[in-house]
Amino acid sequence: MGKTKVFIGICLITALLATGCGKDELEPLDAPYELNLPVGFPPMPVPVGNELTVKRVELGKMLFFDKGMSRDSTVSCGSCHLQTNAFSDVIAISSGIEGRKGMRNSPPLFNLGYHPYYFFDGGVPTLELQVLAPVQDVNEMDHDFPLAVERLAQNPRYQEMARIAYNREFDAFVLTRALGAFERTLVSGNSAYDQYNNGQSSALNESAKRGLALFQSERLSCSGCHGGFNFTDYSFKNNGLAEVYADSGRIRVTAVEADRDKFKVPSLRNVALTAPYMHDGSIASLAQVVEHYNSGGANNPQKDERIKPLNLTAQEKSDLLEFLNALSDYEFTTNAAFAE
Amino acid sequence: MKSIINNLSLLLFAFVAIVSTTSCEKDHDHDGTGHMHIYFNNRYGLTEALDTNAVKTGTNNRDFRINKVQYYVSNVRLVGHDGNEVPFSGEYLLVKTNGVNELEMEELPTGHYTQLKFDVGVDSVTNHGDPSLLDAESDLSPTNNSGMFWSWNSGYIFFMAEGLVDTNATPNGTVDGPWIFHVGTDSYLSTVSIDIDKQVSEGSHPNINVYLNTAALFSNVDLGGADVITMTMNNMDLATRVKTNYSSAFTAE
Repeated sequence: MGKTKVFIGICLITALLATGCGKDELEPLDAPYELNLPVGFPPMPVPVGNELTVKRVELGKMLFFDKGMSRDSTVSCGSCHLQTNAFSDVIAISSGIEGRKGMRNSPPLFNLGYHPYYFFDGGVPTLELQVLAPVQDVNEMDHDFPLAVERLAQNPRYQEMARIAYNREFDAFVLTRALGAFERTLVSGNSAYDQYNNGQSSALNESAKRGLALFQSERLSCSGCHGGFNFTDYSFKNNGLAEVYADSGRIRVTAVEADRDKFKVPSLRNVALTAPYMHDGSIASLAQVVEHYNSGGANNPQKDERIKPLNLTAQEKSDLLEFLNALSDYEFTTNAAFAE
Repeated sequence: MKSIINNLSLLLFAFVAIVSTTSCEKDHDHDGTGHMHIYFNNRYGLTEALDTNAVKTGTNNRDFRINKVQYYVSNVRLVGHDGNEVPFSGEYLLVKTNGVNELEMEELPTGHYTQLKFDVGVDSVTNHGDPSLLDAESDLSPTNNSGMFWSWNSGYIFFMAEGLVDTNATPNGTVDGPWIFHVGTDSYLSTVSIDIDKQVSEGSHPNINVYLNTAALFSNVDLGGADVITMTMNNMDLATRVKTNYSSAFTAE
């Protein structure tokens, strides 16, 4: 009996010592997250300190779909960013809490790690900082950021994951970084166009191939702004949407007159899935977008020189649409790894 | 011979160095250190504390109220009578509307200080850094509930003042519409210099009280008009006037 007690005592001491040691040496509790980039995609920049790990991404995904982010717990990131629509919304202006309306169309979310800045006016430099805006915007989640963090921090699961993922308690640091980590994993690059581009000639039909040629032609100049692997050069442009803009665009953050009524050029990947279009969602369909560019747009003093009447034939319009449809990546929109 | 000259010059150099160091110390009275607090206080006028419940009457018989005045103070330094600048604490302080807003330096070199300088706002490196790295308690944390960080245009609001004004066509004393001054972005950083007369001797504990006269915020601002709201970028003209107003409205004793 006595021997057993001594044995248990030794076991306890050993266990305690082992635990103490464990605290000093950082155990590999979390594993790196393997980002499988499509062929032809450059390495994705990741900020120091927020390297992708399994737990960081998992935590970020849980937060992305957590309605507790909003003041009255009715709206999550995922409420206005739907996977089936490449994480954009199907209406012109999404509803925040209590059905409130802001003034801009919910952008799709993919290949975000490559963006040099965020929002249509480019006012925010990192995905981590971007998180602050929708949480605090009175027309979106309308939440006081510290209160949002405080409430989410009561979730023991989040606390446990925060310790594993970031080696600290759940706080604003963890919240912004985990969401940034998850968002960086939203990579899309397996459309019919990509398959064609990677040597599978049959992935595009003849109409789409003609559309691609038109898209890349000097005459249409689409790829002048929507160029590169992500179909955008991230510049700020005015595309002649109206003579007078209700939303003054980038000038809001630069106060430079040349930036008036200009908006960040969006990627055209998955574009057939992201209707309605433009910064204000004012164009309902992709066919109408093609008509808009064909018309040369409204007479706005800031309009880009590339926007001019194109005199497209019915066949050319149809070919362009066929090509734009071939930019849809259904593997992305059905990937269970991104689903709630 | 050569080595003697070398030795001599070395001696001379050492002598000069010692003398200059000594004289330097005498200039500064750097015999030791004192302990100083600098307090920042909001006032209305030159003697009255800012009362956020008080309704004041401005130009054209317009009644108004000041609900909030808060701003960042950074790069604080004291200038000695010899012109030397001594950095004070190195902290970024968010001065709030009311309460105690203080900076402290426990080991301030002794000397006679004749000027206090500080910036209203934060330097551009800090302004474009990643503040989500900061502890929530930091005065610079965008999550400290102060509302001093623009989430849609990453950067700090350097100076924020808000309140209500009587917007009725015929003024009737009911303050019903907002006036909002949010001044920020790099080019709006301003430096304030105030003459002081502070002798800091060994072991002494002198304080400086800095006062912002918030009544002066409204120079060249027509509170009864339409031009009473600026988030800086949407109304740089008003932001510039407000910056000019507060930059010259500080006093110290």
